[in-house]
Amino acid sequence: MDIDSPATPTADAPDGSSLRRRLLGAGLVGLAGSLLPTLASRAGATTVPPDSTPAATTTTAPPRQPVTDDLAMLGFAQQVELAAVALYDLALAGRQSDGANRSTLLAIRESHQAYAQALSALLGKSAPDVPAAAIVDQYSAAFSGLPGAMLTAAAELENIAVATHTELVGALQGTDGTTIIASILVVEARHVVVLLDMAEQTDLDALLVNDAAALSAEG
Amino acid sequence: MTRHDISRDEVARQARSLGSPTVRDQRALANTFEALLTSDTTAQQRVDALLGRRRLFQIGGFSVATAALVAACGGGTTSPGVAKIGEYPTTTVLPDAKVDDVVLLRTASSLEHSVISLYDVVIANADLIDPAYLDVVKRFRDDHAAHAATVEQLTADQGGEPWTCGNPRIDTLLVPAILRAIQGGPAEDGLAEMAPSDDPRRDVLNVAYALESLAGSTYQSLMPSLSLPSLRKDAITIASQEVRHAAILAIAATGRPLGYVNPDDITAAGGVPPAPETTAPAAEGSTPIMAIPTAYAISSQFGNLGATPLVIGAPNDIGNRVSINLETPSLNSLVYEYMSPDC
Repeated sequence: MDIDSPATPTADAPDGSSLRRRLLGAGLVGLAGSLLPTLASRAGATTVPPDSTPAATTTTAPPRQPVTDDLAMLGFAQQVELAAVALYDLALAGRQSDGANRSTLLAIRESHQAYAQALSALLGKSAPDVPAAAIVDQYSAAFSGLPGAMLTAAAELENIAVATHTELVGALQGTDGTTIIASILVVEARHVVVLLDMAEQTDLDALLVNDAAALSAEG
Repeated sequence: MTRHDISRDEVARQARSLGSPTVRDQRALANTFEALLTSDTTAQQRVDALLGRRRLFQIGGFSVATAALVAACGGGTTSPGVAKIGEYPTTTVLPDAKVDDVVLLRTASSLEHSVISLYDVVIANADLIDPAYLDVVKRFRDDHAAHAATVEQLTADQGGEPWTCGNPRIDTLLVPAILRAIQGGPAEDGLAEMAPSDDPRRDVLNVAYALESLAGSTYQSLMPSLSLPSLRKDAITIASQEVRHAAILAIAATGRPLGYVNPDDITAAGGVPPAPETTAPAAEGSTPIMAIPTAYAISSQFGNLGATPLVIGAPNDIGNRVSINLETPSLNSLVYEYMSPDC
């Protein structure tokens, strides 16, 4: 025999009136619980300092990712770094970098390679991935020349890179690009000191002051 | 469906179920009267019989809800809480401690002034600096004064009050510890007596290197926090000068070519790092002395925002020196707008 009926209530199951009471009680407890945080915050014995002022307007957070205008600037920064790599390769291929200088120049060259790769990772398909030809052309002779001239030219190139990147920091909107460029240029400033010290330059102004003009993508 | 399809047992169960609340209510009523009328029941038993556990829960919930409603309906601008009776402790809300461009710039200028103060101590004490580096240190001090003036002007341009004193936390915790480690100090304020450094001039170069690196890292760390690109440019311009200070000091402290580049970076580039100066091995059974970190002009491929280790002072009985990690200013060392200079 089959009877289509709801599940048979058991002796332990609550009856209708008991269930209503429980629901009512649970609802009241739930209401009280939801109001407790508000109650607690309002009931706190607080004293507002007399000189307190309303919260100031918050500053709008800058974008993280490069905006459209940033892409060309970051691409140019990568071209500058790749030009430095090409020029250090010229120096390392010749006899301008014998002995201890060679290891230092190798490390500096690798740093510029790392900078170009970091910018490439940020730019993706927008990365130019080619050196700035004008810079390579301008400094090829010096980087292939005598060690002293090569070191001075390298320090000049590093100062130009620092000046260029500093201008970019003042123009970029996205903080991701700004952060990378900033972390690059503070080390390139250190490169200058090392290269000039290798060239036996002791003048503090030469070591500390950057008079180089920034480059721009427009030339 | 016919009559034979209906289970008698099921009908009986349904009927009992329908009557069960009535039975329970009758039983509860009987319990109540029994508790009220029987003389040997206690007062608590009478209350329990009248209310019952479920009833207590309901009354408790209703009371809390009522109290919450009263609190929600109360208010007004003059009284932040509900009415109170009796003594209660009062608290004062903390001042507004938002971190914005002004706070970051005030923190930067405070760091400049802390560094200037340390350089002033070094310049005034011939025992602390090799005369060959005196002009260099004076130049660095003047550069920091110029940086401080620049940052203070930027602070004013942003509508803030320029901070013209040292960083309170650095001046309170870091500077005294550094000077004590270098110059030594008596036992006081719970600190053990400290002997003067075994090489104060070495320590001063390392301290200056660490502080210049810290200053450069601090400005670099502001890049994602400053809201205006023009402010970021000004900050990184200063950073690029302070890291040059650090590079010069690293070469002075470590020598050339060892002090040029971190040997790990040279090895990674396929080069051969210069051999460090060999020191005489410690005698067998003697206490090993804590090594002092080597300062490098190019310490990493990218600008480092991590802590700068500083190890200074004379080794103690177990060979340890004073070891400090210099970290870029954070929430506990920022110079908030509610703070007032006291220098």
